[in-house]
Amino acid sequence: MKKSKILVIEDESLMNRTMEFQLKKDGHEVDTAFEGKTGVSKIEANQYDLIILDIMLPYLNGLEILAKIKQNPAKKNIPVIIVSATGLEDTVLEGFKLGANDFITKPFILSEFSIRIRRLLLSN
Amino acid sequence: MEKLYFFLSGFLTDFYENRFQAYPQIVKIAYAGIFISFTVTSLCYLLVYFRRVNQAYIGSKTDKWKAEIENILTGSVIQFNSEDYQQEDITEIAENLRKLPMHKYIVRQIVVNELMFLHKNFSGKVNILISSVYLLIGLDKHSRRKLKSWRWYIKAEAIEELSEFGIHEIAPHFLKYVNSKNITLSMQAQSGYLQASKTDPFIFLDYANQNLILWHQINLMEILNRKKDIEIPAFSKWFTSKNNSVVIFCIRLMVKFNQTDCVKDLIKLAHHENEEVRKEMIAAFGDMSLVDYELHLTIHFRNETLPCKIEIIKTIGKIASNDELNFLKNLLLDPEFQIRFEAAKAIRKHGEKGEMILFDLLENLSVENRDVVLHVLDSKLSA
Amino acid sequence: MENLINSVILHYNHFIFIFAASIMLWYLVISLISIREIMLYKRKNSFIDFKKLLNSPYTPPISIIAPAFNEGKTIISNVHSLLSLQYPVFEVIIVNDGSSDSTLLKLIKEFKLQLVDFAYHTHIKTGPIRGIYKSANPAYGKLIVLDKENRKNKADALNTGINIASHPYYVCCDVDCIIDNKALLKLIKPIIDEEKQVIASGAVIRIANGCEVDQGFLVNVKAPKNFLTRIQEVEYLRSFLLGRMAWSRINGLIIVSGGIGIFEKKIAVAVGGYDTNSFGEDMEMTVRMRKHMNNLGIKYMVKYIPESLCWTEVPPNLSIFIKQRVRWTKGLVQTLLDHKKMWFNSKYGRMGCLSFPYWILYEWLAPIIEFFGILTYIYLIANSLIDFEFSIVLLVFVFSYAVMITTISIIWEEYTNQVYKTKKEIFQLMLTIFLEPFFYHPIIILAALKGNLDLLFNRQHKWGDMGRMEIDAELPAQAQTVKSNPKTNLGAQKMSPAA
Repeated sequence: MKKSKILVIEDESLMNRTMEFQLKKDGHEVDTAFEGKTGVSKIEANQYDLIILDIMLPYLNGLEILAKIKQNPAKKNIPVIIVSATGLEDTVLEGFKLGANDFITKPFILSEFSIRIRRLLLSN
Repeated sequence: MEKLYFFLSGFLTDFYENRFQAYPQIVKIAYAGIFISFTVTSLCYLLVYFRRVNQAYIGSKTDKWKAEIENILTGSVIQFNSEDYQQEDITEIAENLRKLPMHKYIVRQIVVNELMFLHKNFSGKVNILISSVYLLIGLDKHSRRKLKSWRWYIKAEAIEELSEFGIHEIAPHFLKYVNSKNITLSMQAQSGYLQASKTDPFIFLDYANQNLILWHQINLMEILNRKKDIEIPAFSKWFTSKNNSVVIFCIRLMVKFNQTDCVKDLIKLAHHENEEVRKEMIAAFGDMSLVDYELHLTIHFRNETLPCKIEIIKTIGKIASNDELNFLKNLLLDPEFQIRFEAAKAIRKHGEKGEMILFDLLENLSVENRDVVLHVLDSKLSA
Repeated sequence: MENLINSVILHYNHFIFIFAASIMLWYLVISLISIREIMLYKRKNSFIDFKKLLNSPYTPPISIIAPAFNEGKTIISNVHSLLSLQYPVFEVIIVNDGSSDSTLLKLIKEFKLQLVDFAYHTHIKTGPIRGIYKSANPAYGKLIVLDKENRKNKADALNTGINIASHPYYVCCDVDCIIDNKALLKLIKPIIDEEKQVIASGAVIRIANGCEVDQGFLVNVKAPKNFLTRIQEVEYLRSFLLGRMAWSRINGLIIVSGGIGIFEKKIAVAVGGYDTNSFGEDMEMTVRMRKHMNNLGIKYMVKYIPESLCWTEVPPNLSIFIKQRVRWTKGLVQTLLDHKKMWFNSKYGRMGCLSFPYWILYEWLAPIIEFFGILTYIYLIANSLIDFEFSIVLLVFVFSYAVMITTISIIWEEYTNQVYKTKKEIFQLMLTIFLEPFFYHPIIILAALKGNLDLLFNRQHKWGDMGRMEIDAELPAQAQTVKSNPKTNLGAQKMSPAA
């Protein structure tokens, strides 16, 4: 399997780094963004195989970014995983409606996280 | 330089002895005032300057420590999350962290904060690993010392730390703050107790004699979402509480954990003297989709206050059993706008059948009663 | 005759002396009270994770009401920025107040708006509306645009917005303000974490002149360059961080600025909405809401938070500035006179016995007293009835005291928001303080006098036909992006140099 390129958009630095470490350990190439705007510009500039998205972000929230990705014909096939602490039914549903491929609720188990990502990458 | 000094001191003595003492009282005060204002203003300038310099210094230091701590923690967390770890591995992480200047309060606090963050966000093995590290470095002592502080915000922080890492034996100490006049401290104590107590996590509800304000409720709910191992009692136990906010909170919890056994106690609240409690009760019927009680609500409807009436209509819409459509149809002629509006919305919630009824009604209703029907039929407004 | 005049003047002199001393004492007291309130807020806030609010189904939903009049240039980016605020459930109601430019057309095009069959119910009596629009695109589901006839009246526009608002709380703001991304979360916080019912709350308003703005988002906060705007920044800081915070602590606030404020809709409707005849509808509304609660005998609070959540453009030149201040004075005096029954009335608690006397004496009458004080001073000098040295000493004292108080308010800003990143900016701001009593304060006094005179003589003529629009209408010629907002009816805290 070729190295997959993954973008992590998450504002909490520790969370961001932990996910980055985990993904690198799993053999992926990882890019990070700490807020919505940089995230969007990175998505536009690069070709990613998967995007990991937090919902609560400064400037642009995760759902808006998701909507932007799905509106862009060139990017809309990139799988997106939302990682969020939200337990709100509506938010989760809205996420799926907008086209998210998976939803992981914090707190989560890291090994489960990496398995889910691997599976998503394989199925695409 | 010396000359200047002599001149100045001479001038000042002369000024003070020959002129100042002869001034009227008010001018003396003014002179003093000028002196004080001038001093305070200059102090302000110095304060801003040194604060900024200091901030930059502390900021760069904390950034450095934080980066180091994050390096140690993320590395080990990733390493041990899939493989089994031994006691030695925990000791190794602890050793690495001990290399930092842990005698400093601020460093210890950063470590605690980072550990808390990981503890909150990851479950499974990592979670246990983090608590062990916390205990092994002896950071619980740091938190316990904070608990003794006379400043409420330090105390509140300590409660959060100790409860997050599950130090059970300290939980009873939190109870004395549950009714603290300081609402933030009382909130921390409540959520701390909920997390830390092994035996009876909800016992604080017995003690709470203050209003359980919304923010506290949101906080407690969040903990219940996150910590799946908290033992859940039957919440109907508190339906008789004299504290209305506790009753409301327990109704919400009952709904959250779908405790159908409590419903028979819930019904008893129909005659509660507090409107908010009754409203919450009515909403609970809808949230739990208790079809059997729909009729019960419509019977109560006439004697209820307006906010409760509206809640009843909403609830019927939520249950949408088709049994009370006639009841709702009649409400469309009610003189009160809000009732008409909610009734139309509730009919709309009955799916296709509701829609049919609304289209039929359009032809029969008078113009002024038609607006609500048109409103709910507009797909853009209901979206 | 001359004896009589001299004795009057002497007595006036004594009066002014006591008056000035009381103001100075008052400022000392409020700076101490306000820092307590600010510290308490900061400490409380460190325990608040706003993400929990975002995730909870119990966070109360909010309606944002933003009236727009001829905002075609910026409307699209501003609405986008309002729609992207962080909050779990909210709606954005744009009230197009019969704009004569392309405001509505632009909105319709950008957001694919369509007319809807909204069941408009007049909870509050308002002027006629022309139509209510919603977007066909579900991504903009939060947006409602209401088109109404122009009444040259902000109060009427807000009332129409309240009528279609569907949530229990509403935030009123001006569409041209830049609102902080977390503003709603921070505004709702005092409402859900106080023992007593909080009926309204507001936040610090800052000055956007000079800041870098991109697409309705604040990119970089910078201190205003222009002298007039910079001095206004100082004044706003003092007024909000000293005045409002202290009053919030005492629970005696009778104004929540129209720039940004959250209100309980139920009460706003119960009191009949904003007064369309008022020059200062925001203050008038707060007073009436408080009065209502007092009459019902329910314990309540009006809070302010020391956080900068709203950036607004202020008048960059003198003529617009004076117009704005004249209007503020009119609004203030009008509100005070409309509620004469509450003056010194113990039934209205702190509001009647503390807030009203304060506003009457130190906000309304102070400029007038000060003006006559200066006249007396000139008379005394002309007749050499005064010890020159002593009077200079007293003046210097008052000056240094005023500088001290204002400097303290900047320190409070250092401890709360610290929006300026560089030391240079903050020191520039602090130096401006020294010039304020000479160049800025006299203008304020004159504007306040003009406001009083206008009200005295033009009462009948101008009644009912005024509004923020009259100022806005002149703007394009003066400055393109700048709008003056008669929203912060703060009636500038005055230091009286008359001694």
